[in-house]
Amino acid sequence: MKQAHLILKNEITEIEKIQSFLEELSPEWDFSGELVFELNLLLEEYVVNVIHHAYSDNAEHEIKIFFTEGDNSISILIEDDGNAFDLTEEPTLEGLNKPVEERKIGGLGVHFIKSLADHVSYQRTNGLNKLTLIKHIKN
Amino acid sequence: MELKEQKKKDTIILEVKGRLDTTNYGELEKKLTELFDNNEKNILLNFHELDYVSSAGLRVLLLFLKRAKAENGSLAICDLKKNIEDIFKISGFNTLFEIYDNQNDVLGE
Repeated sequence: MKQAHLILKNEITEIEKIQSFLEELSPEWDFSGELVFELNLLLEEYVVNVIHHAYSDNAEHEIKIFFTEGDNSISILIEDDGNAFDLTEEPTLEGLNKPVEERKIGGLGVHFIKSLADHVSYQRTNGLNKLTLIKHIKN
Repeated sequence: MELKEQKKKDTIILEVKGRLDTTNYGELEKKLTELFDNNEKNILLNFHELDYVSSAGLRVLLLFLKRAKAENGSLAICDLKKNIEDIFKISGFNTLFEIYDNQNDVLGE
């Protein structure tokens, strides 16, 4: 069972490391281009949310991302020590079919995570947010 | 991300290449602000070399589609790659924007 991890600081420039990490992992883990795209999007959206909203101080924090290979799936655990935030409790984004004048600007990031991940679960333990994303791998 | 601009008839074609994400969406926002402020309000975004977009980039597109509607301009998009097209569908942007297969369809060439 393959495992890998990536540790990011809570700075927006760190987002670039997600892409390079996935591209490094891709040949060994046999990721398709589509999967790399989707994992990149899932991670960017969640990590940006953590960086922007999770911390009440200006200190440096670590966001830890653990990848585990499963049977025809990949499991990603994202841990941060920010304020409690349960993405699974966020309301479903509505108004996707509304005309442009009525379309709201925000909320797409969480919508992408919920749409692209096959399973999302959340735990708060020992002062850590632990979000697990499962992505099925198509053969 | 790289931006390349050219004018054909009364339309500005803006090629957006590479990745449009949280780290660089401000560059596109700045360019579109400049164009609109200079009264260039008919814009076609050519995405044929756009490989990745996240919600930060889509936010800019929606902001300027709203501005275009409010100021009698237009913001159309052409040449979406499959992954980007999928993201447009998930976000409902496929029905929000005028989307063309390629820029000749828009310019009538």
